[in-house]
Amino acid sequence: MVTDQIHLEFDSDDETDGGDDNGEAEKPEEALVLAFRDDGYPLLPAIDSNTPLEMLKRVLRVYVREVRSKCSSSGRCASLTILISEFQKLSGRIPWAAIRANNDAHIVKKCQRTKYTLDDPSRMTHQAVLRFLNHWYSRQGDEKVWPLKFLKPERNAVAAVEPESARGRRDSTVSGGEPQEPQEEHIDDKGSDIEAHEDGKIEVDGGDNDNVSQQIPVEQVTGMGDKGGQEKVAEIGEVPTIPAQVDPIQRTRFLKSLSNYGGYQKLIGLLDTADVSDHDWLIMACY
Amino acid sequence: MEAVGRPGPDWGHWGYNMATLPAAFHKRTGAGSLGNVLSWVKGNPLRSFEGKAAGYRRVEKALLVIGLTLREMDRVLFTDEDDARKLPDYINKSLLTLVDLDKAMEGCNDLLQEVGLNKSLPEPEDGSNTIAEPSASRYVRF
Repeated sequence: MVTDQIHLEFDSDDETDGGDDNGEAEKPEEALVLAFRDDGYPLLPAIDSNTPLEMLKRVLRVYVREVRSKCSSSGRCASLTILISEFQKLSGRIPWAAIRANNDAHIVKKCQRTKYTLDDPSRMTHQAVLRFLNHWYSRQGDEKVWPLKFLKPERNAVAAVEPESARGRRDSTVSGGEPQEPQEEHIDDKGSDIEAHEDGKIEVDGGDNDNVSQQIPVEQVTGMGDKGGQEKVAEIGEVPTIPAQVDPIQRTRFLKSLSNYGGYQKLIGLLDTADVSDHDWLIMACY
Repeated sequence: MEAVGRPGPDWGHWGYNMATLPAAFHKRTGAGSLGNVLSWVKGNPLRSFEGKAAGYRRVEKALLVIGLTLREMDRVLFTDEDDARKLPDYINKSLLTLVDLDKAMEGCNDLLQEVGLNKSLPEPEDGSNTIAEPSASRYVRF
């Protein structure tokens, strides 16, 4: 069921997914073909320290792109957050700068690496890429959540629920398959004060949580257009002290800032798995 | 029909427009007081309703109430003299103590237990700013 092979095909239409690619996107490259679990989870191939750095980087790049392009048709998305609206666009450049600035927002805590930051692969060291890929590879066999977070519909959203497409085993050629949008990344390292946590720290994803089954385009949820979304993400440097001044996009950060008490921080992890549908409206009215 | 718990403090919403909690919080009893918060937490604001776990908005609101409570108590108990001058008088004169902070933390831990997250709290390691104090006494600054 699980295919651990990298298929190499020649494909001149390579992706140009952003950041500082050192021009590597300009030249034709071999396409990587990833296998998928029945639930749509992209499967990383087995790699080791002998795998060439360029191949590791390409695997990482393809994997991130594949998660983004496939997750809308799967209910396996673990913890989805409005902070990563750029990543949720399904097409266009992978917002590596935003990912670099806030690994917490993009990667499930258990899938982070304390000493390394996920970044544009072209900026990462051999060891860093290897650590991420090996760790994610080790977790993919148990139907655990994807390492990458994706799309958390905003509360108050009355949104249409996308029907899940039929699931099943399938293969996909990833390289260069998506249209490129002429997007600029507005996000830099400002506001990257969110620290990556140790593996398993205050993590409540539970490994196999299926809570998030509704996929809602972030623009529809937030009312923000593309540019608005980018600007909002870029504004995450300061968190107000007054609740009424907290932008909805910053609420989780605001809550985290209120107290360092471990029990409280652990409770905040509930947001990662809480159902975002409005089934609570009646009880909320009573509270 | 399932019971839906007790009403929360009136300042526990995202429209609250003050940097500090109202004076009522620092009273022993009454709407919006710490006692009110503790009772509300004890009633488990995250309880399942009609078989469904608490949704995002309810979790968020509970976290807001608890977080604002912990922040306010931190101000009462640990603000140094210089910074205290910037705070309202009722905070500087608040009668809340470490025992009250302990109660708030206990409420937090009880809630963790209620929602099934009562396993060991994360121990701080290098690079982690999350702390798991068993008691408010660990908060004392010298």
